[in-house]
Amino acid sequence: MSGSIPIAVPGSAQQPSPPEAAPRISRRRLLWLGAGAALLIGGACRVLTGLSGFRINEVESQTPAFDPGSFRLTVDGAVAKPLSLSWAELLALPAVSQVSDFHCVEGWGVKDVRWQGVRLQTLIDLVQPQHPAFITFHSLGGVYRDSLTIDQALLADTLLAYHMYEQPLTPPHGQPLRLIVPQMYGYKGPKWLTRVEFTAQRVVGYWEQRGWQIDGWLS
Amino acid sequence: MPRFSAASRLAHWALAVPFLLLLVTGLLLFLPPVKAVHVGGYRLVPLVHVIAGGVFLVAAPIVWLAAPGRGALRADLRGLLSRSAGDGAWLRYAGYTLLGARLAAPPAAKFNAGQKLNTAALLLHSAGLGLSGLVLGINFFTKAVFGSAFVERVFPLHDLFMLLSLPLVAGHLYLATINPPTRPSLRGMLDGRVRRDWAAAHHARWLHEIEATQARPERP
Repeated sequence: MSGSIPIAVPGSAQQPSPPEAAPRISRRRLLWLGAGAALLIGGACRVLTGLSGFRINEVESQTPAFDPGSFRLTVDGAVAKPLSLSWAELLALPAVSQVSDFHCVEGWGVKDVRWQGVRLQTLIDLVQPQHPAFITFHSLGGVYRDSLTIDQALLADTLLAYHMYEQPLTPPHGQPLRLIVPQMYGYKGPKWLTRVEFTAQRVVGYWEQRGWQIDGWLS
Repeated sequence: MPRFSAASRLAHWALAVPFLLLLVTGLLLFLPPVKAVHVGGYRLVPLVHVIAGGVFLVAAPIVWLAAPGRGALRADLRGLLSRSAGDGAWLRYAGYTLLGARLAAPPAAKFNAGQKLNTAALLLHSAGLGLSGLVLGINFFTKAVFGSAFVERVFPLHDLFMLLSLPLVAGHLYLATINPPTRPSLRGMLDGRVRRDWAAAHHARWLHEIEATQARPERP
């Protein structure tokens, strides 16, 4: 098409006639256009039916690494019986499954997420907190943390999850362990969980230092 | 020869610059390590996206309502949003050309049917993105206005409008900067002028109209 476009002025002899009955079209172009349209429609359906699902948020530029051999979940602070659980010991604790909606403070949500893990209450019973206390949850990597009151921690659907949709958590979703508090926004549930610390004072979490509510109840 | 007034160019860029900034920062939000970058305690990309969204919502309307010489801008908008002779032939030509046929372009007015469809579609997408983005932007600053259930219904709409606008924006950029026959039009949006031979090839009816007007003798 380069350089040889006829200059067409109405009324001049060069005015092109309407397209002929059968201009030569390219099958390859047709395929490409069809594929593009299918991709677009597929993407639109995916977005509208919520299949796009989770957006990944992390505050460190590197996703924390997990090694099942050396991983420990430390449960300590103001408790009678502090614990340090290996990965195998954590998996040996009574496991529960639950289906709950996930809500992000950014405005997206995922319905009916299937989680499996250990009730936070199970851990609380094991370590026996010494007095009404707060609980701080620390992520691998040492940057992210957040806290709950004991009452929030004892909500029936507060879960330390290690499986999501019947599969082990993937690194972006917090492998190996994440806290799930379905009645609050997702930032209240640290991923890559490595330490559960009982404290007398409430620790202000990562995002709460940056303006989010310390009680992340859904609005 | 002159094609776009300063007001029309300003209106175009007041829409285009925030739109492209929003598209780039919006797409970067899908890359967690980039989204995680902090400056002064705030995540840089989400913050720029939200601020650019505020600029997007006010910049183009301000230009449309307040730009000096906006008569020409209004005339361009009228031309873009109305039908004119040759639209049907031009659409048939564009359809066949997309499918690989080699045809001569039928003469078009100042705006051909493709430019008109692109404008209408982008204005619709801008409205959809702007309205849903306004909800999400308010939700970014305060949870007191909208409930989470409502916001979660709006969120995928924002994604949908973005997705549907991608081929439009990509096609527009391709035709304006890469495609050899059409890219001389970019100058019209930069310094307001285009080559006469380009106008003759692509907007013959417009050229004819202008030259007929100029050739008309001055009234006494």
